[in-house]
Amino acid sequence: MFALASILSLLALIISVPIFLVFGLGSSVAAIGGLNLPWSVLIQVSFGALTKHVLIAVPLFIFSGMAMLKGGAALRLVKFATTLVGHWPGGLGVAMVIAMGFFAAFCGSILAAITAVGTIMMPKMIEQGYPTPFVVVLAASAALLEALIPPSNAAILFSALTYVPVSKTFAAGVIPGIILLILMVLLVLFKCRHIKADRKATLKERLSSFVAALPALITPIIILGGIYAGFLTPSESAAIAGVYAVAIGFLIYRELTFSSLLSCLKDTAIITAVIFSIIATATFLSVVLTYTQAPQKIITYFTDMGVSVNLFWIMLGTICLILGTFIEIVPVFYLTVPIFAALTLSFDQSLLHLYVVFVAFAGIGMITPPVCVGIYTAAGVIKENPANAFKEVPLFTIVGIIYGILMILFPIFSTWLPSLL
Amino acid sequence: EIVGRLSVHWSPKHHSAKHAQIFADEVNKRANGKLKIEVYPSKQLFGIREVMGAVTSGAVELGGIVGVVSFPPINKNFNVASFPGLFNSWEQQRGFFQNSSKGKEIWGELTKKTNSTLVMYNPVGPVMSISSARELTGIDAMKGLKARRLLKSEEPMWDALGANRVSLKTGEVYNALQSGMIDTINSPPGSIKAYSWWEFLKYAQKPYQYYADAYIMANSTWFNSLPADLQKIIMDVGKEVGTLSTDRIMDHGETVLKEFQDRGGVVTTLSGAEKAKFDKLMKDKVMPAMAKMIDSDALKAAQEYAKSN
Amino acid sequence: MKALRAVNNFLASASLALAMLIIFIMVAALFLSAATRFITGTGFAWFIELPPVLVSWLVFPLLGPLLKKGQHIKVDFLTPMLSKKNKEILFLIVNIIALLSACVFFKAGLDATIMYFNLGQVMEIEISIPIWWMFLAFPVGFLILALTSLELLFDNIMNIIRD
Ligand code: NA
Ligand code: NA
Repeated sequence: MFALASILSLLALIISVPIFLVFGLGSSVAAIGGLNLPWSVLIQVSFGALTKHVLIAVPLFIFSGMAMLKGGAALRLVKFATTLVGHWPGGLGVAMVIAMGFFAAFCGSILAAITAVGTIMMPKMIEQGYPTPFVVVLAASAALLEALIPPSNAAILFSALTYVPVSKTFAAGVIPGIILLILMVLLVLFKCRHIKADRKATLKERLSSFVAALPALITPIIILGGIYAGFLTPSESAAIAGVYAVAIGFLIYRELTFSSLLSCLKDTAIITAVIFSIIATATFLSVVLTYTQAPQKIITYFTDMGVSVNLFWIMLGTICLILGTFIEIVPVFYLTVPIFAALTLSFDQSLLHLYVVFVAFAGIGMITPPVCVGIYTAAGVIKENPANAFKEVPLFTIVGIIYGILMILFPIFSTWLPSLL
Repeated sequence: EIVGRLSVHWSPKHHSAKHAQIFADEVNKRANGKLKIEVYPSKQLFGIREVMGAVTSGAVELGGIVGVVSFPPINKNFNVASFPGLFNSWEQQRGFFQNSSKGKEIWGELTKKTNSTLVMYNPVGPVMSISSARELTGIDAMKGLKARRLLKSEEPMWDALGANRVSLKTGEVYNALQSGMIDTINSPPGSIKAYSWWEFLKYAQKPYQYYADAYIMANSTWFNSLPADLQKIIMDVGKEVGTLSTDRIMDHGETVLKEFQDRGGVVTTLSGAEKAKFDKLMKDKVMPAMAKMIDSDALKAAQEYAKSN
Repeated sequence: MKALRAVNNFLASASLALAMLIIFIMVAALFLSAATRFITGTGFAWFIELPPVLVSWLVFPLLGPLLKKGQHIKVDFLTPMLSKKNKEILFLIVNIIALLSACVFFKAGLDATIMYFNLGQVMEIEISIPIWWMFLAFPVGFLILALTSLELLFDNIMNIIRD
C-alpha cells in the first residue's frame, strides 16, 4: 500500500497535479488503506497544524510586505540604496542587493521582495547595460535573503515544525543573511566591473533619500524590538508591521489608495491559501510518517550505517538541492524537515544550524529550473521569457553551493546570535 | 497482534508520561504478544487540546487526557475540578465523579459524548502559582503580575488578583518567560522541571489551589472489541499503575520543590492574616465568577460531596 | 453546465471576499491585542485566539477558485513539451485526479465535522464558538473544489472533442 501510494504520488507530481493534491492523495491512500485510520484523522491533524498560533504570522508578514510594496516604501529604499553605492562599478546591481536586504528586514514574502525591488531596479539596470539574464537571476536569488533576514516566513514554518521559538530562528538567520549579502555583492562587483556607473550622489542627495526612506527603515526595529523586548508575539509584531506599513503608505508616502489596499488583501489571501493548502495536506503525510515511525527507522538506519556528522550534512544538502530543483521550498519544508530535525538531534547538532543549512540548499531551488518560482517571478516583472535567463543559473548555483558549504562548516554563524538571547 | 496507540502530549521526562510508559510496558508484558501498546510522547501525534478528539474518532486507541483542559469545553460542569479549594485530594475529586449521582451524570455524559473509557488515573499534580517576578507573599504581591492563562477557569483568579493575563500554549511558555512577556504561571511543580521553566521561575506559593487530574482514556469501540482477557489486563494494569502514579505524584511534587529550593527558589506558604486575606478574596470575588462557569446544582452537589467525604 | 459555471463563479467571488475579510480581521485583531495589552496592561485573550480559528475558512474555500486560475503550486515539467492535444488530455487527467481527491477529502472533512458536532466541544476562548464550525470549512472547501474540477473537466472534454 505504501509503495502504491508513493508511485501514485510521483506520477501525479510529474503530470503537474497541484502539489497539495499530490500530498493529500498519496497520504490518504496510505493512511486509510494502509494504516486503517479513520478518514477524519487527516482532517484533525491538519486542523491542528493550521491553527498553530505562530503560523498566523505568515499571512501577516506577507500583508506587510505587500503594503510596503504598494505604499511606496520599496521605492524609497531603492533610491536610498542607489545613492549609497550607485557610483561603484556594478553599483546598480549592488544597490539592488542592498535594497533587497533592507526589504527582507520587514517582509516575509519572497514574491513581494522580488516584485517590490525588482520592478524598480531591473528596468534601470538593463537600460544601463547589465545583461538581462544576469539581472533576472540576481533578482531571483536576492529573494533568498528574504528567507534568512528576519522576519522570515521560512523561519516561521521551521519553528512551526520543530517547536524552536521563532525569536531564535529569526536570530539564527541574521549573520548568514549578511554573509550571503556580502557574497552577492562580491559577485556583482566582479561580474559587472566593466559596466559604467552612475555619478556619485551628493551628500545632500544621500541625506534626503535617507530621510525619505527613514520611516521604512525603522520598521525592523519595531518588529524585532517588540519581539526581543518581550512586548509582542511574532504574529502581533507582524500585525503591527502591517498596520504601520498601511499608515506610512497612506499618511507619509501618500501612495496607498483604498483600492490598492484591497489588492494587498487579495494578494495576501491568495498567497496564503496557496501556502497553507500545502501545509494542510503535507500534514496528512506527516501523520503517515509518525504512525509508521519512519523518522525513527531512518535514524536507526543512519546510525547502523555509521554515518558521520559531516556526511550527514552533505547528504542533507544534496537532498535539498535535488528536491529544490523539482519542488518548491514550502513542500520541501514539510516533506523533509520533520525527519531532518530528528536526525539532527540524534547527531547532537543544533536545530538552528539545520535551519540555516536547509534554507541555503533548498533556497537554491528557487533559481534552478524547471521549478524556480524566483526566476519566473523576476522574469515576469520585466515581461521576459524565463528560459532566456537560465544560462546564468549555473554561476549563481555554484555561489549558492559555496555559501551552503560555508554554512555547514561554521555552525557558529547560525548559533552564536541566538545564544546571546 | 493487536496494536493500541497511546498518544500523550507530555515530554518523556514528565511524571505522567513516565507512568503512561510504565502502563504500556506492563500491559505488553502481561498480554504476552497478543496486544502491544505503543506510546507516542511529546505530542508527536496529538497536542493537549487535540488528543480527546483523536480518541473519540479512533485516530488513536488511547490518549492521555488532562481533565481540566479537555472536559470543560464539552461539559462546563467539569470546571468543579479546578474550583479553588473545593476538593482536598485526588480521592475526593475522583469519588465525586464516580460515586455521587450528579458527578456520575457529568462523567457519564463526558464519556458517552467522547466515546471513551477510563483506563487509568495519571495525575499531573497539585496546582500552585509560581513566579519569576517576586516572592508571592500574599495578594498584594500578585497585583500586576503577567500571568499565563491556559484555561478559561483561570481567568477569575487572575482578574481578582489584579494580574494581567496572557494566553499562551504550553510550547510557548518557555520563550515567553525568557523574554519577560509573562512572569507567572499556575502549574503543578513537576511541570516546571519537565519543561525547564524553573530556569526562570523562582518564587512558588502554597497552599495548592486544586488537584489537576489526568486520565488514560481508551476509545470505547476499540476497547469493547477486545477479547475479555485483554480488557481485564488493561484494567488491572491501569488500576495498579494508576495507584502508583497517584501515590508518587505528591512526593514527586515535593521532591521537585526541594530541588527548586536547592536551585535558589523560594516556596512561600501563606498563613495567618495573609492566608485569610487570600481566602476572603477567593470567596468574595473568584468563587462567584467561577460559579458562573458551572451550573448551580452541579456546584452545590460537589460542595456537599466534598463536605461529607 | 451553464448553471454549474454560474454557481462556481459566485462561490469563487464569495470565497475571495471572505478570505480578504479574514486577512483584515487577523491584522486588526492582533494589532488590537498588542495595543490593548500595552494600554490597559491586560490583554483580551480572544484577540489573540481569534485569528487561528479563522484560518480554515481562509484557506479551504479558495482551493477550487485557485485550481481554476492555475495558481496552485505544481511541477510544470511535462506541459511545455506536449502538443496542444496532449496537453488537453493531461489536464483532463489532472482534473479527474482533483475531482477524486476532492471527494475523498470531502468525506474525511464531513466525518470530522460530524464528529465534533456530536462531541459538542467549544473553543476555549472568551466567545465559546463550537469547534465544528471551524471544521465545516474543510467539507465546504472540498465541495467547492469538486464542483470546480467538474467544470474544468467538462471544458477539457469539450476542447478535446472540438480539436
Ligand atoms: Na525577511
Ligand atoms: Na528549482
